[in-house]
Amino acid sequence: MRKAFAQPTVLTLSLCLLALIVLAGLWPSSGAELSLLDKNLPPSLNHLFGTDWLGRDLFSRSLKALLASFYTGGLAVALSCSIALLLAMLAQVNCAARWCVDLLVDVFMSLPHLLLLILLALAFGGAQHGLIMAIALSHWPRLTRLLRFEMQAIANAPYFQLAKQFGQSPLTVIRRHMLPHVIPQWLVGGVLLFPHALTHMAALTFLGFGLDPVNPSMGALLSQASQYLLTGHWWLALCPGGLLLISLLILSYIANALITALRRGPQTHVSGGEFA
Amino acid sequence: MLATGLRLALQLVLVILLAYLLLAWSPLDPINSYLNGNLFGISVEQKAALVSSLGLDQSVAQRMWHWLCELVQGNLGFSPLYQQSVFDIIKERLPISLLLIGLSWLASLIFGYALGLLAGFYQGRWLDKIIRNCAWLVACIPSFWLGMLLISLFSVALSLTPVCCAAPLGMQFSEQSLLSMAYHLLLPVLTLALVHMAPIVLHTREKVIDVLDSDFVEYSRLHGDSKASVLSYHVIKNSLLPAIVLHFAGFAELFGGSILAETVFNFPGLGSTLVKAGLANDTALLMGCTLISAILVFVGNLSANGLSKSLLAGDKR
Repeated sequence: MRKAFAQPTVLTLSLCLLALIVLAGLWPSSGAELSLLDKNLPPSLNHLFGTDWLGRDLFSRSLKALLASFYTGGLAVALSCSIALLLAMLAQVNCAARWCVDLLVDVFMSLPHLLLLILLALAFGGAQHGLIMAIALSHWPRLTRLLRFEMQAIANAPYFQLAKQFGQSPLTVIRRHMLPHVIPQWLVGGVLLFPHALTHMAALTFLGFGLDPVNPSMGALLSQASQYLLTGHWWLALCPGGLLLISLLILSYIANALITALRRGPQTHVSGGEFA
Repeated sequence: MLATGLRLALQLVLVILLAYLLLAWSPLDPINSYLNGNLFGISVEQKAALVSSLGLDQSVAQRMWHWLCELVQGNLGFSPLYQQSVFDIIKERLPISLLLIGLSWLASLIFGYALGLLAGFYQGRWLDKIIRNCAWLVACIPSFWLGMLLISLFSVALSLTPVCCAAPLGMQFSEQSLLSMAYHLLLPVLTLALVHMAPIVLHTREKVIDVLDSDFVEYSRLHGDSKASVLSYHVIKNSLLPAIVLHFAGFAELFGGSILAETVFNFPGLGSTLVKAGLANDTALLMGCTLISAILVFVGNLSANGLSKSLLAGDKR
């Protein structure tokens, strides 16, 4: 993993992303100030992303929206990854548990992702915590499946069998001999989930099931922009979406570099899993 | 084969139960959404009548049992949002969605496969790099944003394509001419196909590179076979079916994408209906749409399974 960050592009991109987040956090304007005199301005030096129909500066709004999306998305991904790890460990207990976990993964994967998100968001009553729970409860299956196969391979390895036969308690064996091999996979899986979570969050908010449109979030900005699309205010859609896309691209690039490093890395004797 | 089929059917049943429980668990008040938030506009007796007519005075298990019994008889319930039976709504809107999904499925398969073939054949050259980077870029783009950009470019700025809907104003979808149908379907299909093309491009590329590296291709090359005959005899034969299997298995994501595309393009299909039903908390309609999409995914998985089984059997022979 250290090797991945030694690559100059990965390092630069991570620093860029970090700088973007810090900039968004420290940006003085909240983007909520109305100024009806300069409404609907196209992008210029004064207003980098232009202004919207109430004269709010779109650049500040997009930055704050990005920050909010990162916060909610990060929370949701952390929850989702924990669920995945717990279930994958549960599947190691015995045959019945493995069958149940497999079935659960398959059931959650046999609805279109977005539909499952809508159902979950409705079940938790929308708003921010509904959105976080929906993302957390719908993104775990793929990672769980990956971790389960990974753990299965380790459990069949001779050194693990030996460690078990030395009579250590199952918990110790898992903690000392299984987790160190799985944790890198798990972390990279989390990084890889992050762009997916951001996209789905924006999509869900865009459809109207997520965050309140009053607080700036990427989906809300874009869904409001779609109402002004036909009047020719293209920058309302292009600029915030572009910012989102750039962060998604950076994240996915970093995740891909991490996976490649992990596959080549010396510490994993089990072949890295395939993410589709 | 039978075992996988049974397991998939079990998944179908469990998914429907899960969806029903999730909706029943929702804290949003169906009475409130039925009355558009005007909860105090009715008297206590009227409210009680409404509760019993919507079946809310029964327990969740009773309601679910009732819904399942009705389902077996082919009755999907009544939608308060459209004031129509759910079956009629689905019958009216499903064909449009299926047309949209089917066309995008085909388009992304054909173009994705062709691009993957090109990229694999020219591995390491600039063409391969361009295709790979484009696939990566397209996979990252949120589909609804892509749709919005396409609208503002082709429909608003260039006025080449219609701005919304599936038919000219005041017309039903099936009443228009084929040309006008294609004209209205162009942008949504383009959006969906672009977004779902990336996996198939990358998968085909890997597969083609594998085949080109294999011993039998080396052997046929040593015998002086031309590039074209290697391509048609070995590469396409070995890479087309896996690509189709993968594409069947990705059917669920295509349906999810159609929800967004239909909302962006204001298309009167099943996906946009589903969103409206969800926003209005119309449980019967939402369950109907969920059922249909679960069945679609079930069929997609079953076909992928069957195809890959026959593929493996062909290998053994």
